[in-house]
Amino acid sequence: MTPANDDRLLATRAARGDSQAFAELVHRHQQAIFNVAYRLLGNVQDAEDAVQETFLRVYRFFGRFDVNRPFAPWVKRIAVNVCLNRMTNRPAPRSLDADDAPPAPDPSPGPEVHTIQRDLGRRVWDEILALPPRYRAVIELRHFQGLSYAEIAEALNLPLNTVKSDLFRARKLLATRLRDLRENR
Amino acid sequence: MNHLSDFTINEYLDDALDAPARRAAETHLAACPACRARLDDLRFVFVSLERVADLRLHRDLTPAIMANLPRKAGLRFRQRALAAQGGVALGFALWLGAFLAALRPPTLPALPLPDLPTLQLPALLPLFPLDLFTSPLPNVLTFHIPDLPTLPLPTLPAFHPLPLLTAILASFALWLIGNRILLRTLPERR
Repeated sequence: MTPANDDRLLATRAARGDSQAFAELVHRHQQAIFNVAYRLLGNVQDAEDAVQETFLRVYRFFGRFDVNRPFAPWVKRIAVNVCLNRMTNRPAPRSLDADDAPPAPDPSPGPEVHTIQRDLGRRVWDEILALPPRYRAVIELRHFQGLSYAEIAEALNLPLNTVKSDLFRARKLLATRLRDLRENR
Repeated sequence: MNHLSDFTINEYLDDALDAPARRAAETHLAACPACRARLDDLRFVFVSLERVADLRLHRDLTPAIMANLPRKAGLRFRQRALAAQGGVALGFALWLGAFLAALRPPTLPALPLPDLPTLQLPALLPLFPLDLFTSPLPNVLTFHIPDLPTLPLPTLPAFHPLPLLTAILASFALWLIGNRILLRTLPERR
């Protein structure tokens, strides 16, 4: 049985009031939702709070969810909206917290590669977090969740051309800010 | 030479161009170093974003999330409130039906009209003292008002409460359905 089918069975049971099924869904998807929240908010505590709020909303609005549709994209969309609401109330930090370093890269390359990859990873994180909230949201939905332009427009309730414009400008900003990294490779 | 727009280069990388537009873009990129450089800049962004590693959660948030879900007491309270409303509505409907059933209007007795007495009017005095004319009229005029028949008041038909009670109970059932008590499966809550 594929994970998607598992999710559908669990979602069907959870929609009927099975709290064990709902707990299992939370356990399976909390990691992915945490990363969505962290990329948008840049802070572990805020991201954990956003994860909790996301699943509370999922629980509250489970009656509106069509169990025949994939569960993960729906939860991620709710997570993005939760995070966007938080972001409009508070600017995201300029860089990662000291305790929030990205995980260690693959140990097989040499130490120089470790450093470069760690620096690149951290630098990309920093530049993502430095983007304006709406640019961060479109980068998240396009590059990390694989949504199409139309799906992003629906998720963010924005016109299609606005989504494209935001996405292309966000990429251009990142390209400008990461140019020195690219030139030093 | 006209360069490719930012939109075109981005849509090219997103594989969002139709076949003719894609071919045109590739033809231009093959001949334009400036647009190739812009394309490479964007490609680097794509690759960098792909390589951003996910963070691991330090702790399992499931217990905290499940503990903060809305309690069953809230649900029970809502069910009790709805049941109380339904009970009050049913009780009132039954009382109203019984009250209306007891309100049979009395049958009023027939009211005969009274016999009016014979009216005797005094005779008119002769206008002249001399009996120049012999009054053919009698001295006394007697009028008799005919007896009118007795008119009984109509009686109203007997009132049956059953149709009214049925209508009230049907309305109550529709109210329950409207509140989705009968048809909605409410999720179990902790």
